[in-house]
Amino acid sequence: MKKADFFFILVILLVVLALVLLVVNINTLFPTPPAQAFAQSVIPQG
Amino acid sequence: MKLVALPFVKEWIASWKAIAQHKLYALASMVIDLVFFLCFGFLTAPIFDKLSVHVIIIGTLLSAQMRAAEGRARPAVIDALFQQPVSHFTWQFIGLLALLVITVFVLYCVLHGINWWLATSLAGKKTHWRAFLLQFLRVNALWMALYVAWYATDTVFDLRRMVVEKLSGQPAQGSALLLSVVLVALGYFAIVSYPLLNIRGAFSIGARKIPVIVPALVLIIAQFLVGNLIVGWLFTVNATAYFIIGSILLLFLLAWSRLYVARVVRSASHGV
Repeated sequence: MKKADFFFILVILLVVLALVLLVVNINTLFPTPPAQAFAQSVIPQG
Repeated sequence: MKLVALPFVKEWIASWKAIAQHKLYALASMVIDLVFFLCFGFLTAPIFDKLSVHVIIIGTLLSAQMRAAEGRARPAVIDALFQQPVSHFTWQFIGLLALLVITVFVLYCVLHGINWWLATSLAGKKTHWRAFLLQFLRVNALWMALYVAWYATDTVFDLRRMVVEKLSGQPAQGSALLLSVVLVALGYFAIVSYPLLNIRGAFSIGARKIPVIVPALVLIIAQFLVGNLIVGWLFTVNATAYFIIGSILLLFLLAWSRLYVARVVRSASHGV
């Protein structure tokens, strides 16, 4: 395998790993209140 | 004119012969598609969940703002999106969309890129896999940008419809038909561009060779429908068999479809 091919595969694997880490920590990165409770607190259902 | 002489019929027969001779291609392509579906599900489900939560929160806050502005001039939806208290969630929503786009883009370009490289190689176009993947990435960058624009438009229309429905209490009209037509056109030219790896060529050949390419795509859809019908009755007999055979059939038809499209587009591009 050529050196360029090896680095290409390495870059792809690193990018995928970074994405996995971002998705796993999605609740920390994008915090939200529970949607239903939030909707009811803003617009009380009659 | 004989039916067999039609380019899409000729290539249909040739592609079935080719896949029968190259079973390893079919197997590799099916495994890569399976990996794609699994990765896609595991990585995008949490993002889609978060996006739905944001749509509910933003929609609720917007309609509360609109109700509060009763009697006064209501702010435009776009303006309201970037004003407190909605703006915090709007920016988070944009961040989530960016994460979704990058995730789908990377997964799609890597795994589908390899599959399209296999299909076009079998169809006769010899390119080094790295060069193919890089070109596939470039071509898809444009399609992804257009898809993002489409998705953003769809979301803004959805939000607007949600606000109108909440205020009037009646179902509001959307623009689903127009947006669907745009999406189908985008998908068509994207499919044509994959074997060519050339956007300009895709528009030129895709537009000029509609009588060759569209029947081929209709044939592919028909085969999926027939496959679905064949497997459908299995569900009543055995759900596990339905799932296993259905998945294998779906993956196999996907592998065959790519090869067929690669052959049809290649033969169509020779006549231009």
